[in-house]
Amino acid sequence: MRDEDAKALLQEFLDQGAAAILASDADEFFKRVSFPHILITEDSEAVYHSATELRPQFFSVSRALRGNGVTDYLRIVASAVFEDENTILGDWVTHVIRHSHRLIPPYPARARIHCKDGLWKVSHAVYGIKFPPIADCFPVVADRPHLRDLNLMD
Amino acid sequence: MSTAAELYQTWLDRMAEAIWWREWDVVSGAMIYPHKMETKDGEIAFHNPDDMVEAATDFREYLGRIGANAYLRVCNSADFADEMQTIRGVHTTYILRGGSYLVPPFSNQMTLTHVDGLWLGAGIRAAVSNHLCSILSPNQLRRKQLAEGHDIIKEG
Repeated sequence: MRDEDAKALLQEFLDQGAAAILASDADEFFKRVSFPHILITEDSEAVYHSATELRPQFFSVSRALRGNGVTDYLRIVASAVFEDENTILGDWVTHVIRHSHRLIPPYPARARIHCKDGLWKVSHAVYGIKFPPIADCFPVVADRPHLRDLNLMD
Repeated sequence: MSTAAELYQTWLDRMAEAIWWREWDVVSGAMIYPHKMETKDGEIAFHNPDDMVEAATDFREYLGRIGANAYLRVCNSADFADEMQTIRGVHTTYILRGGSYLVPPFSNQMTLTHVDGLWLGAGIRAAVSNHLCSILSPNQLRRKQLAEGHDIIKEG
């Protein structure tokens, strides 16, 4: 199990998720999320127990992207490792762009994904942002994002 | 003080926007001349801003033709050299449409030179074939080949 393989798998996972978010395709997106799902930002931490609980967040992000004319939502893997043969922990940087213009500064993120029955799903996600003060707006990118470690005990 | 990577990324972002919005004066004014652009299978030298404008125009048309709706370049690494008058960096180019890669992302090596307070592009080498991504202007390549053929004939 090479780190390069982990990076490639995580990149493919993120690309598929980004396409689903841009297309507001919740069914496609939630195929890749496991529950309970832990979502951590710079100023919050929440546990979601079902897709029903997380759907409002998904559609809020999707509406924010579409409402601001985002043409692409690119998440580029920086590093990834296999924690075991069915678990990958990785970091990436998110770029939110309209054509060639950045709508918000790039921000870091981290996640743990697990493979079960041949399908990778995210169980923990950490974002270097604060939730927007108003629904359907872009998140606020932290000045100096500090991603929380995801220990195996989490 | 900005890091080499920050300066490099700022330059990449500004140029990507200028190419997208066809701000040819911005593009041609951000380079030094002569200037060389290379791919895996070819190279073109630009002797003046007009050459650069023609190349950038052809590249922008190529982006439109393949249906791109975003063009992004992201710095992977960059370092100062020559007493901080040069930045040598590596970046990845993304040509996208709705979350999909229209061209597989490819790596580039680029040099910036500090001239009169401005960072100017001083040459780029893209690790991609021009058949896969039309970075080099087909019109300029054709003229170059014709000119080289002329030289051969003259030499013969």
